[in-house]
Amino acid sequence: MSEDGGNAMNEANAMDGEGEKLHVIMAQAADGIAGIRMDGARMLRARRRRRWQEGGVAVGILSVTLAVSMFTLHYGRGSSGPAPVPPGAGPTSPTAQQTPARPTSSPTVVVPVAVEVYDADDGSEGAEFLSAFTQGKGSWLTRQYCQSQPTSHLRPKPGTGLILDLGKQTKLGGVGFNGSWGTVEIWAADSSVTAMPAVVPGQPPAGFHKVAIMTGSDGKFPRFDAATRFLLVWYTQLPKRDRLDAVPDVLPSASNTDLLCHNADGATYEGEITNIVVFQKN
Amino acid sequence: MGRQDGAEELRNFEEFVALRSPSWMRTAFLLVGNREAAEDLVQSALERTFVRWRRVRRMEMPEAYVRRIVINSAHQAWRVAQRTPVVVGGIGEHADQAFADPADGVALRASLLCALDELPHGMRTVVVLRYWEELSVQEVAELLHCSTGNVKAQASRGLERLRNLISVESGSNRG
Repeated sequence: MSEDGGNAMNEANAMDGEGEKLHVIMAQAADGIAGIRMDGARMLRARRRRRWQEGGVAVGILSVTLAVSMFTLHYGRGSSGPAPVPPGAGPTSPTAQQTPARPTSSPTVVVPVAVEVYDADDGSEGAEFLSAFTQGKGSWLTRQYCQSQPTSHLRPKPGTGLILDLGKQTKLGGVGFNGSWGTVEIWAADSSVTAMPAVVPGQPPAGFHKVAIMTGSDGKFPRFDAATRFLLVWYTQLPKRDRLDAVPDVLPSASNTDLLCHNADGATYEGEITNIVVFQKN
Repeated sequence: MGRQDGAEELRNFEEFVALRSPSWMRTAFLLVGNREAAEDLVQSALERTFVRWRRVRRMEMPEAYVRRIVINSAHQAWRVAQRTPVVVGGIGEHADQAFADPADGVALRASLLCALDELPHGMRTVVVLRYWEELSVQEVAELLHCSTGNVKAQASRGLERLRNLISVESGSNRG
Protein backbone atom coordinates (compact mmCIF):
# COMPACT_ATOMS: atom_id res chain seq x y z
CA MET A 1 0.00 0.00 0.00
CA SER A 2 1.29 3.48 -0.89
CA GLU A 3 2.00 5.96 1.85
CA ASP A 4 -0.90 8.15 0.65
CA GLY A 5 -3.25 5.19 0.65
CA GLY A 6 -2.10 4.25 4.12
CA ASN A 7 -2.69 7.78 5.38
CA ALA A 8 -6.17 7.88 3.87
CA MET A 9 -6.97 4.57 5.54
CA ASN A 10 -5.63 5.83 8.87
CA GLU A 11 -7.71 9.00 8.56
CA ALA A 12 -10.84 6.96 7.94
CA ASN A 13 -10.05 4.75 10.89
CA ALA A 14 -9.35 7.76 13.07
CA MET A 15 -12.77 9.19 12.17
CA ASP A 16 -14.39 5.87 13.00
CA GLY A 17 -12.54 5.94 16.33
CA GLU A 18 -13.87 9.42 17.04
CA GLY A 19 -17.33 8.29 16.11
CA GLU A 20 -17.06 5.49 18.63
CA LYS A 21 -15.91 7.90 21.32
CA LEU A 22 -18.83 10.18 20.51
CA HIS A 23 -21.16 7.22 20.87
CA VAL A 24 -19.77 6.56 24.34
CA ILE A 25 -20.31 10.20 25.33
CA MET A 26 -23.82 10.10 23.92
CA ALA A 27 -24.50 6.93 25.87
CA GLN A 28 -23.36 8.71 29.03
CA ALA A 29 -25.50 11.73 28.22
CA ALA A 30 -28.56 9.60 27.62
CA ASP A 31 -27.87 7.30 30.56
CA GLY A 32 -30.85 7.28 32.88
CA ILE A 33 -33.30 8.12 30.11
CA ALA A 34 -35.69 5.23 30.47
CA GLY A 35 -38.53 4.09 28.29
CA ILE A 36 -41.97 5.55 28.82
CA ARG A 37 -45.04 4.00 30.33
CA MET A 38 -47.68 3.82 27.70
CA ASP A 39 -50.87 5.56 28.68
CA GLY A 40 -53.50 3.09 27.44
CA ALA A 41 -56.36 5.51 28.09
CA ARG A 42 -54.59 8.16 26.02
CA MET A 43 -54.13 5.70 23.17
CA LEU A 44 -57.80 4.73 23.23
CA ARG A 45 -58.80 8.39 23.32
CA ALA A 46 -56.56 8.98 20.27
CA ARG A 47 -58.27 6.12 18.49
CA ARG A 48 -61.72 7.46 19.34
CA ARG A 49 -60.66 10.89 18.12
CA ARG A 50 -59.41 9.30 14.94
CA ARG A 51 -62.76 7.60 14.41
CA TRP A 52 -64.52 10.89 14.91
CA GLN A 53 -62.13 12.40 12.42
CA GLU A 54 -62.88 9.63 9.97
CA GLY A 55 -66.46 10.66 10.44
CA GLY A 56 -65.01 14.08 9.91
CA VAL A 57 -63.76 12.87 6.54
CA ALA A 58 -67.42 12.82 5.74
CA VAL A 59 -68.07 16.23 7.25
CA GLY A 60 -64.89 17.89 6.01
CA ILE A 61 -64.93 16.57 2.49
CA LEU A 62 -68.71 16.79 2.25
CA SER A 63 -68.67 20.48 3.15
CA VAL A 64 -66.30 21.15 0.25
CA THR A 65 -67.79 18.68 -2.16
CA LEU A 66 -71.38 19.74 -1.69
CA ALA A 67 -70.35 23.25 -2.56
CA VAL A 68 -68.45 21.94 -5.57
CA SER A 69 -71.49 19.94 -6.53
CA MET A 70 -73.61 23.10 -6.35
CA PHE A 71 -71.11 24.89 -8.57
CA THR A 72 -71.10 22.02 -11.00
CA LEU A 73 -74.87 21.99 -11.15
CA HIS A 74 -75.01 25.72 -11.53
CA TYR A 75 -72.28 26.23 -14.08
CA GLY A 76 -71.62 22.81 -15.44
CA ARG A 77 -74.63 22.09 -17.63
CA GLY A 78 -74.60 23.13 -21.23
CA SER A 79 -71.92 25.72 -20.74
CA SER A 80 -68.85 25.94 -22.89
CA GLY A 81 -67.06 28.14 -20.35
CA PRO A 82 -64.19 27.13 -18.11
CA ALA A 83 -64.58 24.32 -15.61
CA PRO A 84 -65.87 25.52 -12.25
CA VAL A 85 -63.40 26.00 -9.45
CA PRO A 86 -64.11 24.57 -6.01
CA PRO A 87 -64.85 27.36 -3.59
CA GLY A 88 -62.19 28.28 -1.09
CA ALA A 89 -59.48 27.36 -3.54
CA GLY A 90 -56.29 29.38 -3.80
CA PRO A 91 -54.68 30.91 -6.87
CA THR A 92 -55.49 29.26 -10.17
CA SER A 93 -51.93 28.82 -11.33
CA PRO A 94 -49.85 26.79 -10.99
CA THR A 95 -52.10 24.85 -8.65
CA ALA A 96 -54.53 22.65 -10.50
CA GLN A 97 -58.13 23.22 -9.58
CA GLN A 98 -60.86 21.61 -11.55
CA THR A 99 -63.86 19.42 -11.40
CA PRO A 100 -64.19 16.34 -13.54
CA ALA A 101 -65.42 16.20 -17.07
CA ARG A 102 -68.92 17.58 -17.05
CA PRO A 103 -71.43 14.90 -16.17
CA THR A 104 -74.49 14.49 -18.30
CA SER A 105 -76.83 14.30 -15.29
CA SER A 106 -76.74 15.65 -11.76
CA PRO A 107 -73.63 14.29 -10.05
CA THR A 108 -73.80 12.63 -6.67
CA VAL A 109 -70.86 13.29 -4.41
CA VAL A 110 -69.42 10.20 -2.74
CA VAL A 111 -68.06 10.81 0.73
CA PRO A 112 -65.09 8.57 1.61
CA VAL A 113 -65.32 6.74 4.92
CA ALA A 114 -61.52 6.65 5.35
CA VAL A 115 -58.35 8.00 3.79
CA GLU A 116 -54.89 6.45 4.19
CA VAL A 117 -51.41 7.19 2.89
CA TYR A 118 -50.02 4.82 0.27
CA ASP A 119 -46.44 5.90 -0.36
CA ALA A 120 -44.91 2.66 -1.68
CA ASP A 121 -42.55 2.93 1.29
CA ASP A 122 -43.66 2.52 4.90
CA GLY A 123 -46.93 4.44 4.95
CA SER A 124 -45.52 7.39 6.89
CA GLU A 125 -45.28 9.95 4.09
CA GLY A 126 -47.19 13.06 5.12
CA ALA A 127 -48.92 11.07 7.89
CA GLU A 128 -48.75 14.13 10.12
CA PHE A 129 -50.89 16.09 7.63
CA LEU A 130 -53.56 13.47 7.12
CA SER A 131 -55.74 14.44 10.04
CA ALA A 132 -55.95 18.10 9.01
CA PHE A 133 -56.58 17.05 5.42
CA THR A 134 -59.47 14.74 6.26
CA GLN A 135 -61.05 17.46 8.39
CA GLY A 136 -60.78 19.95 5.54
CA LYS A 137 -58.38 22.10 7.59
CA GLY A 138 -55.25 21.73 5.49
CA SER A 139 -53.46 20.02 2.67
CA TRP A 140 -51.82 16.65 2.59
CA LEU A 141 -48.18 17.05 1.60
CA THR A 142 -45.70 14.56 0.26
CA ARG A 143 -42.11 14.50 1.40
CA GLN A 144 -39.69 16.78 -0.33
CA TYR A 145 -37.51 15.15 -2.92
CA CYS A 146 -34.47 16.23 -4.86
CA GLN A 147 -36.10 15.31 -8.19
CA SER A 148 -39.60 15.03 -9.58
CA GLN A 149 -39.53 11.24 -9.28
CA PRO A 150 -40.41 10.17 -5.74
CA THR A 151 -37.94 7.72 -4.23
CA SER A 152 -37.82 5.12 -1.52
CA HIS A 153 -34.53 3.98 -0.03
CA LEU A 154 -32.85 6.09 -2.71
CA ARG A 155 -34.44 4.08 -5.49
CA PRO A 156 -37.23 5.42 -7.70
CA LYS A 157 -40.63 4.33 -6.48
CA PRO A 158 -43.76 4.07 -8.60
CA GLY A 159 -45.55 6.92 -6.85
CA THR A 160 -46.96 8.31 -3.65
CA GLY A 161 -50.45 9.36 -2.67
CA LEU A 162 -53.67 8.64 -0.85
CA ILE A 163 -56.18 5.82 -0.92
CA LEU A 164 -59.83 6.72 -0.40
CA ASP A 165 -62.21 4.09 0.94
CA LEU A 166 -65.64 4.87 -0.54
CA GLY A 167 -67.29 2.37 1.82
CA LYS A 168 -68.82 0.22 -0.91
CA GLN A 169 -68.44 -0.64 -4.58
CA THR A 170 -69.30 2.55 -6.45
CA LYS A 171 -69.69 3.44 -10.14
CA LEU A 172 -67.56 6.51 -10.64
CA GLY A 173 -68.59 9.48 -12.70
CA GLY A 174 -65.40 11.45 -12.21
CA VAL A 175 -62.86 12.80 -9.77
CA GLY A 176 -62.14 16.42 -8.98
CA PHE A 177 -58.68 17.31 -7.72
CA ASN A 178 -57.46 20.45 -6.06
CA GLY A 179 -53.76 20.62 -5.37
CA SER A 180 -50.40 20.98 -7.02
CA TRP A 181 -50.00 19.31 -10.36
CA GLY A 182 -47.14 17.21 -11.54
CA THR A 183 -48.32 13.95 -12.95
CA VAL A 184 -51.26 12.64 -10.96
CA GLU A 185 -53.00 9.36 -11.70
CA ILE A 186 -56.23 7.79 -10.53
CA TRP A 187 -56.16 4.07 -9.81
CA ALA A 188 -59.21 1.95 -8.98
CA ALA A 189 -59.24 -1.29 -7.00
CA ASP A 190 -60.60 -4.56 -8.37
CA SER A 191 -63.60 -6.05 -6.61
CA SER A 192 -61.24 -8.57 -4.99
CA VAL A 193 -59.86 -5.78 -2.76
CA THR A 194 -62.08 -5.69 0.32
CA ALA A 195 -59.86 -3.87 2.85
CA MET A 196 -57.47 -0.94 2.84
CA PRO A 197 -54.30 -2.53 1.41
CA ALA A 198 -51.08 -2.79 3.41
CA VAL A 199 -48.27 -0.66 2.00
CA VAL A 200 -45.76 -2.69 0.02
CA PRO A 201 -42.40 -0.93 -0.49
CA GLY A 202 -41.63 -0.17 -4.11
CA GLN A 203 -45.01 -1.40 -5.36
CA PRO A 204 -48.38 0.12 -6.15
CA PRO A 205 -51.21 -1.41 -4.12
CA ALA A 206 -52.08 -4.95 -5.17
CA GLY A 207 -55.33 -5.28 -7.12
CA PHE A 208 -55.36 -1.65 -8.31
CA HIS A 209 -55.21 -0.48 -11.92
CA LYS A 210 -54.80 2.91 -13.54
CA VAL A 211 -57.98 4.53 -14.87
CA ALA A 212 -56.96 8.13 -15.53
CA ILE A 213 -53.92 10.35 -15.68
CA MET A 214 -53.60 14.11 -15.33
CA THR A 215 -50.49 16.01 -16.29
CA GLY A 216 -49.69 19.65 -15.83
CA SER A 217 -50.29 20.32 -19.51
CA ASP A 218 -54.08 20.17 -19.39
CA GLY A 219 -54.79 20.11 -15.67
CA LYS A 220 -57.79 17.79 -16.01
CA PHE A 221 -58.55 14.16 -15.53
CA PRO A 222 -60.08 12.71 -18.66
CA ARG A 223 -63.46 10.99 -18.44
CA PHE A 224 -63.26 7.36 -17.33
CA ASP A 225 -65.54 4.50 -16.35
CA ALA A 226 -64.80 2.42 -13.29
CA ALA A 227 -66.64 0.70 -10.48
CA THR A 228 -64.65 0.40 -7.29
CA ARG A 229 -64.65 0.75 -3.53
CA PHE A 230 -61.06 2.03 -3.22
CA LEU A 231 -59.50 4.85 -5.17
CA LEU A 232 -55.81 5.73 -5.26
CA VAL A 233 -54.79 9.31 -6.04
CA TRP A 234 -51.20 8.83 -7.04
CA TYR A 235 -48.38 11.28 -7.74
CA THR A 236 -45.91 9.73 -10.16
CA GLN A 237 -44.09 13.03 -10.86
CA LEU A 238 -43.94 15.85 -8.34
CA PRO A 239 -43.85 19.57 -9.04
CA LYS A 240 -41.01 21.84 -7.97
CA ARG A 241 -41.51 23.23 -4.52
CA ASP A 242 -40.85 26.85 -5.52
CA ARG A 243 -44.21 26.74 -7.29
CA LEU A 244 -45.85 25.87 -4.02
CA ASP A 245 -44.11 28.69 -2.21
CA ALA A 246 -46.31 31.11 -4.12
CA VAL A 247 -49.42 29.54 -2.59
CA PRO A 248 -50.32 31.13 0.75
CA ASP A 249 -50.82 29.11 3.92
CA VAL A 250 -49.03 25.99 2.76
CA LEU A 251 -48.25 23.87 5.77
CA PRO A 252 -44.60 23.24 6.58
CA SER A 253 -43.18 20.06 5.17
CA ALA A 254 -42.07 17.25 7.32
CA SER A 255 -38.83 16.11 5.89
CA ASN A 256 -35.27 17.18 5.55
CA THR A 257 -35.35 20.61 3.97
CA ASP A 258 -32.08 21.61 5.53
CA LEU A 259 -30.24 18.83 3.75
CA LEU A 260 -29.48 20.48 0.46
CA CYS A 261 -30.16 18.69 -2.77
CA HIS A 262 -27.17 18.16 -4.98
CA ASN A 263 -28.99 18.86 -8.22
CA ALA A 264 -28.18 21.75 -10.52
CA ASP A 265 -30.49 24.35 -9.01
CA GLY A 266 -30.85 22.96 -5.48
CA ALA A 267 -34.62 22.68 -6.06
CA THR A 268 -36.86 20.39 -4.07
CA TYR A 269 -40.04 18.72 -5.30
CA GLU A 270 -43.21 18.17 -3.33
CA GLY A 271 -46.84 17.28 -3.99
CA GLU A 272 -49.82 18.85 -2.28
CA ILE A 273 -53.42 17.67 -2.29
CA THR A 274 -55.88 20.23 -0.98
CA ASN A 275 -59.05 18.28 -1.64
CA ILE A 276 -60.44 15.46 -3.72
CA VAL A 277 -64.00 15.23 -4.91
CA VAL A 278 -65.45 11.90 -6.02
CA PHE A 279 -68.63 11.79 -8.09
CA GLN A 280 -70.84 8.78 -8.48
CA LYS A 281 -72.19 7.97 -11.91
CA ASN A 282 -75.94 8.32 -12.05
CA MET B 1 -63.79 -4.94 16.02
CA GLY B 2 -64.93 -6.47 19.31
CA ARG B 3 -63.96 -5.20 22.73
CA GLN B 4 -61.82 -8.30 23.30
CA ASP B 5 -59.92 -7.73 20.07
CA GLY B 6 -59.37 -4.12 21.07
CA ALA B 7 -57.96 -5.13 24.47
CA GLU B 8 -55.69 -7.67 22.82
CA GLU B 9 -54.50 -5.05 20.36
CA LEU B 10 -53.76 -2.62 23.17
CA ARG B 11 -51.79 -5.29 25.06
CA ASN B 12 -49.85 -6.14 21.94
CA PHE B 13 -49.02 -2.47 21.37
CA GLU B 14 -48.04 -2.07 25.02
CA GLU B 15 -45.52 -4.91 24.70
CA PHE B 16 -44.08 -3.30 21.57
CA VAL B 17 -43.72 0.02 23.39
CA ALA B 18 -42.16 -1.54 26.49
CA LEU B 19 -39.53 -3.21 24.34
CA ARG B 20 -38.67 -0.30 22.08
CA SER B 21 -39.42 2.91 23.91
CA PRO B 22 -36.04 3.26 25.71
CA SER B 23 -34.33 3.47 22.34
CA TRP B 24 -36.83 6.04 20.98
CA MET B 25 -36.60 8.07 24.18
CA ARG B 26 -32.81 8.27 24.07
CA THR B 27 -32.80 9.23 20.43
CA ALA B 28 -35.48 11.87 21.06
CA PHE B 29 -33.51 13.14 24.07
CA LEU B 30 -30.37 13.59 21.99
CA LEU B 31 -32.41 15.31 19.28
CA VAL B 32 -34.17 17.82 21.50
CA GLY B 33 -31.93 17.98 24.56
CA ASN B 34 -34.40 17.52 27.41
CA ARG B 35 -36.41 14.70 28.85
CA GLU B 36 -39.83 16.37 28.87
CA ALA B 37 -39.68 17.39 25.22
CA ALA B 38 -38.40 13.93 24.31
CA GLU B 39 -41.31 12.31 26.14
CA ASP B 40 -43.78 14.59 24.36
CA LEU B 41 -42.33 13.59 21.01
CA VAL B 42 -42.47 9.88 21.76
CA GLN B 43 -45.97 9.97 23.28
CA SER B 44 -47.23 11.86 20.30
CA ALA B 45 -45.57 9.37 17.95
CA LEU B 46 -47.19 6.51 19.87
CA GLU B 47 -50.64 8.03 19.50
CA ARG B 48 -50.16 8.40 15.78
CA THR B 49 -48.89 4.85 15.55
CA PHE B 50 -51.62 3.28 17.68
CA VAL B 51 -54.46 4.65 15.56
CA ARG B 52 -52.86 2.87 12.59
CA TRP B 53 -51.49 -0.07 14.55
CA ARG B 54 -53.32 -2.74 12.60
CA ARG B 55 -51.54 -1.50 9.51
CA VAL B 56 -48.20 -0.62 11.08
CA ARG B 57 -47.76 -3.95 12.88
CA ARG B 58 -47.72 -5.70 9.51
CA MET B 59 -44.71 -3.65 8.41
CA GLU B 60 -41.30 -5.23 8.31
CA MET B 61 -39.90 -2.80 10.89
CA PRO B 62 -42.69 -1.08 12.81
CA GLU B 63 -40.14 0.42 15.21
CA ALA B 64 -38.61 2.37 12.30
CA TYR B 65 -42.04 3.85 11.58
CA VAL B 66 -42.20 5.26 15.12
CA ARG B 67 -38.63 6.50 14.91
CA ARG B 68 -39.37 8.31 11.67
CA ILE B 69 -42.37 10.05 13.25
CA VAL B 70 -40.18 11.09 16.19
CA ILE B 71 -37.58 12.55 13.82
CA ASN B 72 -40.17 14.29 11.65
CA SER B 73 -41.89 15.72 14.71
CA ALA B 74 -38.59 17.06 16.01
CA HIS B 75 -38.02 18.74 12.64
CA GLN B 76 -41.49 20.23 12.72
CA ALA B 77 -40.98 21.51 16.26
CA TRP B 78 -37.72 23.12 15.22
CA ARG B 79 -39.36 24.68 12.23
CA VAL B 80 -42.25 26.02 14.25
CA ALA B 81 -39.85 27.50 16.78
CA GLN B 82 -37.91 29.12 13.91
CA ARG B 83 -34.79 28.43 15.83
CA THR B 84 -31.72 29.79 14.10
CA PRO B 85 -28.69 27.90 15.25
CA VAL B 86 -25.58 29.89 16.03
CA VAL B 87 -22.26 28.20 15.67
CA VAL B 88 -19.73 29.38 18.17
CA GLY B 89 -16.10 28.70 18.80
CA GLY B 90 -13.27 27.77 16.51
CA ILE B 91 -10.66 25.09 16.51
CA GLY B 92 -9.55 24.90 20.09
CA GLU B 93 -6.09 24.06 21.31
CA HIS B 94 -7.42 20.90 22.98
CA ALA B 95 -9.27 19.73 19.89
CA ASP B 96 -7.25 16.58 19.59
CA GLN B 97 -8.16 15.63 23.17
CA ALA B 98 -11.83 16.48 23.01
CA PHE B 99 -13.08 12.92 22.70
CA ALA B 100 -9.95 11.47 24.24
CA ASP B 101 -11.21 10.48 27.64
CA PRO B 102 -14.75 9.21 27.91
CA ALA B 103 -14.13 8.61 31.60
CA ASP B 104 -14.04 12.37 32.03
CA GLY B 105 -17.72 12.04 31.31
CA VAL B 106 -19.53 14.39 33.66
CA ALA B 107 -18.28 17.57 32.08
CA LEU B 108 -18.43 16.10 28.61
CA ARG B 109 -22.05 15.05 29.08
CA ALA B 110 -23.13 18.62 29.75
CA SER B 111 -20.85 19.88 27.01
CA LEU B 112 -22.29 17.43 24.54
CA LEU B 113 -25.87 18.62 25.02
CA CYS B 114 -24.78 22.26 24.69
CA ALA B 115 -22.72 21.44 21.62
CA LEU B 116 -25.57 19.50 20.00
CA ASP B 117 -27.77 22.58 20.51
CA GLU B 118 -25.36 24.52 18.32
CA LEU B 119 -25.71 22.24 15.30
CA PRO B 120 -28.22 22.90 12.51
CA HIS B 121 -31.01 20.44 13.13
CA GLY B 122 -30.43 18.42 9.97
CA MET B 123 -26.80 17.96 10.93
CA ARG B 124 -27.80 17.12 14.50
CA THR B 125 -30.19 14.46 13.22
CA VAL B 126 -27.51 12.92 11.02
CA VAL B 127 -25.01 12.91 13.90
CA VAL B 128 -27.49 11.29 16.29
CA LEU B 129 -28.56 8.66 13.80
CA ARG B 130 -25.02 7.93 12.66
CA TYR B 131 -23.14 7.96 15.95
CA TRP B 132 -25.85 7.22 18.50
CA GLU B 133 -28.16 4.87 16.64
CA GLU B 134 -25.05 3.60 14.80
CA LEU B 135 -26.97 3.39 11.55
CA SER B 136 -24.87 3.01 8.44
CA VAL B 137 -24.49 5.92 6.02
CA GLN B 138 -26.88 4.11 3.68
CA GLU B 139 -29.47 3.59 6.41
CA VAL B 140 -29.36 7.26 7.47
CA ALA B 141 -29.71 8.31 3.83
CA GLU B 142 -32.73 6.05 3.44
CA LEU B 143 -34.33 7.32 6.64
CA LEU B 144 -33.81 10.99 5.77
CA HIS B 145 -34.40 10.56 2.04
CA CYS B 146 -31.14 12.16 0.97
CA SER B 147 -27.97 11.01 -0.72
CA THR B 148 -25.23 9.01 0.98
CA GLY B 149 -22.79 11.79 0.00
CA ASN B 150 -24.92 14.26 1.89
CA VAL B 151 -24.97 12.04 4.97
CA LYS B 152 -21.20 11.55 4.87
CA ALA B 153 -20.61 15.28 4.56
CA GLN B 154 -23.07 16.20 7.33
CA ALA B 155 -21.73 13.49 9.64
CA SER B 156 -18.13 14.47 9.07
CA ARG B 157 -18.79 18.20 9.53
CA GLY B 158 -21.00 17.52 12.52
CA LEU B 159 -18.35 15.41 14.20
CA GLU B 160 -15.71 18.04 13.57
CA ARG B 161 -17.93 20.83 14.82
CA LEU B 162 -18.81 18.90 17.97
CA ARG B 163 -15.15 18.23 18.61
CA ASN B 164 -14.37 21.92 18.31
CA LEU B 165 -17.30 23.03 20.41
CA ILE B 166 -16.60 20.55 23.15
CA SER B 167 -12.90 21.33 23.16
CA VAL B 168 -13.62 25.07 23.41
CA GLU B 169 -15.97 24.47 26.30
CA SER B 170 -13.70 22.06 28.11
CA GLY B 171 -10.80 24.49 27.48
CA SER B 172 -12.76 27.31 29.04
CA ASN B 173 -13.75 25.09 31.97
CA ARG B 174 -10.12 24.30 32.61
CA GLY B 175 -8.95 27.85 32.14
